[in-house]
Amino acid sequence: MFFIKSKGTHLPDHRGHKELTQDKPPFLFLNPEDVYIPLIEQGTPCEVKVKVGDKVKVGQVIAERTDRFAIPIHASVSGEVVSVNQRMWHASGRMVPCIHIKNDFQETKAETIKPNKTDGLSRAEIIDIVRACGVVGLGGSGFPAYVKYKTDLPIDVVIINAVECEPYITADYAQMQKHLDEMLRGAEYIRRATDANRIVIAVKAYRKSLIEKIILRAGDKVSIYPVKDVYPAGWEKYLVQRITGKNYKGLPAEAGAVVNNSGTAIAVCHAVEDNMPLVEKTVTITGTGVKDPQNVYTKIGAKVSDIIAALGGYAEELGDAYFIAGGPMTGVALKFDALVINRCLSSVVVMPKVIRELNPECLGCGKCNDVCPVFLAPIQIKEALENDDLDLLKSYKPELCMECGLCSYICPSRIELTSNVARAKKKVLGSR
Amino acid sequence: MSTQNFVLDKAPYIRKADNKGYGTAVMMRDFLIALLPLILFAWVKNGLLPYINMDTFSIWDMLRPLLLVIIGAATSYLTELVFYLLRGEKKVFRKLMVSFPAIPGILLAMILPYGTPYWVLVLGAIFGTFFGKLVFGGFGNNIFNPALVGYIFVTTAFTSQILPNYLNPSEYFTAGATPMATLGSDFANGVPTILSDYPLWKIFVGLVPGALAETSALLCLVALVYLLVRKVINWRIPVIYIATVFVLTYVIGAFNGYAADIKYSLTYIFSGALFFGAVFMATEPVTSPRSPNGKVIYALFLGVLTVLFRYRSSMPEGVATSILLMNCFTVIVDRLAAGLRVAANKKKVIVTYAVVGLLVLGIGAYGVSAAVPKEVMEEVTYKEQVQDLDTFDFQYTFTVGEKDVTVITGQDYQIKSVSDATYDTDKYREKFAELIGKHKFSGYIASKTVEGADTILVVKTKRSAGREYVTSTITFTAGQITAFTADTAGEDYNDSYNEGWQEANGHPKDIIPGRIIANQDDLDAVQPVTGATDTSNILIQAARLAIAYMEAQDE
Repeated sequence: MFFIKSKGTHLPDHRGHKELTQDKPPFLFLNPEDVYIPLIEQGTPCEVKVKVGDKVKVGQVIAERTDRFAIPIHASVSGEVVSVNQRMWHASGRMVPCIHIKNDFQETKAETIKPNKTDGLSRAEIIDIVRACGVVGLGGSGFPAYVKYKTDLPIDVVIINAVECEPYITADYAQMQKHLDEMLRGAEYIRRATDANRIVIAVKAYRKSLIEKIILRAGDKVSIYPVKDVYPAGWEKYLVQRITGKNYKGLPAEAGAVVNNSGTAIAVCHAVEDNMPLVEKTVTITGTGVKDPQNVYTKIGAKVSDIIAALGGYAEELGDAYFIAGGPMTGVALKFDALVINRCLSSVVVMPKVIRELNPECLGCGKCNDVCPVFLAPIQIKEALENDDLDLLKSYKPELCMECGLCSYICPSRIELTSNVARAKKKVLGSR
Repeated sequence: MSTQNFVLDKAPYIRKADNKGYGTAVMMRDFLIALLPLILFAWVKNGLLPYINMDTFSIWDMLRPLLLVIIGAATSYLTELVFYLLRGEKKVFRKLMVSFPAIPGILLAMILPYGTPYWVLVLGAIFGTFFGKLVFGGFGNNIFNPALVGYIFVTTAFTSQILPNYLNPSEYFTAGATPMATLGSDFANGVPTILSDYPLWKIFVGLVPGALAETSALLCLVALVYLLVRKVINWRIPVIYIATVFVLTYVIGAFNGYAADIKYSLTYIFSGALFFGAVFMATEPVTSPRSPNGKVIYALFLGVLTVLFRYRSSMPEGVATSILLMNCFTVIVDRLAAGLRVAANKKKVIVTYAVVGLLVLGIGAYGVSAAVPKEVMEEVTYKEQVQDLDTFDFQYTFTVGEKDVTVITGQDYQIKSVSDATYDTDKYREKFAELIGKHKFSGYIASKTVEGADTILVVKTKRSAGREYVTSTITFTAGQITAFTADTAGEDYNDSYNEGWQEANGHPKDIIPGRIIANQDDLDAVQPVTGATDTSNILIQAARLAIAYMEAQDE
């Protein structure tokens, strides 16, 4: 294996967009009138465990994912189930069925939520608690966290990913400011759950005060890995390659690493200490299209349109605008704002559409080649796709693409490269 | 509740191209900005300075460099405009805004000489734009660099209009030839010849005759830095291209006595269109590979091909040809390189680069070998020949360089020894043998035997180069010729030399010996046989040689 480190690209003037929200204290939106818990996890439909009319408590299991990544889904408010098939917009860009719960504002907690004695917990017990509390990767993938810990491979390092490389998003940063101790404790539980030797926290190097704080609180129990201000520095593979010096094909465990988002660490901490399921999270609602961009601490299942209304609505004279579930590089644009917050949605960006309509053809500058973190040739993949040349397409290996969006971002002729490479990826994977 | 509807689009939603200061149009604008100093320099050098220094220079002559550029730009712009109008295209001007139509004409004007007639430039710009760009589908789809297509067209079709025009009017008085012409005509001695005309800094700055705006390596470097800072082009092609030519010409220089001096290769890379081609032509993004590996491979080949064309072909300048040639391979190189980069396969990468390296080395070596001097031979001239009368061997003296070298051969003219060991090599022996073949003895003493009181000499003489020797056996008794036998078997009396000979006159071999013996004290008195004068004479000549020999022996 010829090991080439994937690379990142500095996005000039896009670090700036984080200042919209990064120094604001979290905006609490914990009492939505209605919540809509999506019945879909990573594209897999889930089995409903409640009926219309049932009274549910906070933290009660109301649905369950039943495939090999079995994980329960919990009610995020107490109240009455109004519907189990309410279709709402989801971060995947589709409408999905949701369980609609009418909030009774009592915050009655389920009986399972009670403090644990954390000292005596074994590895298996921690893993089970994490599963029972429905902790999934909050970085965006929504991969069940316990699956990562249950590996048979020897784990050397737990990497807490607090990089947050995508522009605009500051949810993790805001959460860490407030829950740093929980994050560090959560990291320790993850270390115990994986029998790892050490904990590394990856943070953007320019977040100097945060780094100081972590060192102050954690001392030498963790080490800091400062990453350059490049995109996609928060990509799992990018971090594992740099921290362990090893490459992998499937899961980071192959390189002896477990990577968890900082938000996930906090959720693990709440789960292990209080048996508190993952029902609340921080979402950055930002962009120049929102009057008052905020890091919103809210219930899973809350409707983004409600939150934005609470934030004062949209900016005036918005005109044509994008409503993006997720970050501006990888998110999905939606036509309507009736989006519900699922467990791994970390931001919603509303921004005016500024498009230069007059675009020349590809001039062949090769900048898309230069920026690709996995060294693909996006423009050639696009051409091969257009010419329907499957053999050629296969030799370009579009399946390595992780759709970071850099090629489309950099293209001076504004060619839609990322979406075409993604199509090529599907085509190649489908032809196997 | 808001009823705002949002627009759908494809990720990512932030695009660098949506910024005002970024995009293909901005890159093309920067490209033109980088050309400006070169155009200004061309104007100052070819227009303004001659105007100041010469009385006969009209204002139109002064403006000519700028007019050439403007006419080139206008021509290719109009060509595209007319093309799209004739095709019935809607929104023609919108299309022209994103196809950058002026650039080929500007570039073409810059690489043609000052004296190019305007109509030649116009034809070239039309040809280049149409056949180099429009027939392929316009900007972004062309395979060949349009400016170079036009350039090759006019330089081949109108050679007589272009070649004599490389000097601007003021240079007619001061300069003999462009550096490229000098380098092309003599690669071993071209560099010192040039450097005696122009110091290296002048070549670097560009104050030498050449095409309109490509002479200044310095300004090309400035433009390169600007384009790199603006991220319009990638460093790989220009840097590797120039470096390859530099290395190869250094090797050539080393073979020609410049091993410790990079002056040779510097002169080479600063001369001609190399810098201009490397910065503005080879990097032309549409026609050059897009992947980084592809750019490296492309630039390596450009370098060796340029050296190959400069040294091996009749054209002194190889930049345009090699760029056009490599344009053909852009797609192939790109495919290879794209697969290579993502392969993450050491073997594939190594094998590919090994093949590329071998090809590059092979072409490079072939190009270099053209300029490697053969083993230097000093000039060999024939000086004299004598017969060694003791051994009867032949002694030839040659002048080699400034020395005399004696070569001894047997009577069969085979070289026995060479007096100076330095020149006792196959090459010199070959040369000696060649000269000896041209200077054979017209007569010599073949042998001498003593029988009692008699001394018998065998003497060989001949008439002219192509003839056989005639053997005369002469017997001396007490200093007098007592017997003379002649073997004239090789002689033919019926040829043009012995015209008029008749049987009745008798054979010289029968008649002459008696006359020689009778008149041996005064051989001039011997009458030749009528009609066989030449044959008779060589027999008399043999007698003279024999007598001279005998007299020399007595002393």
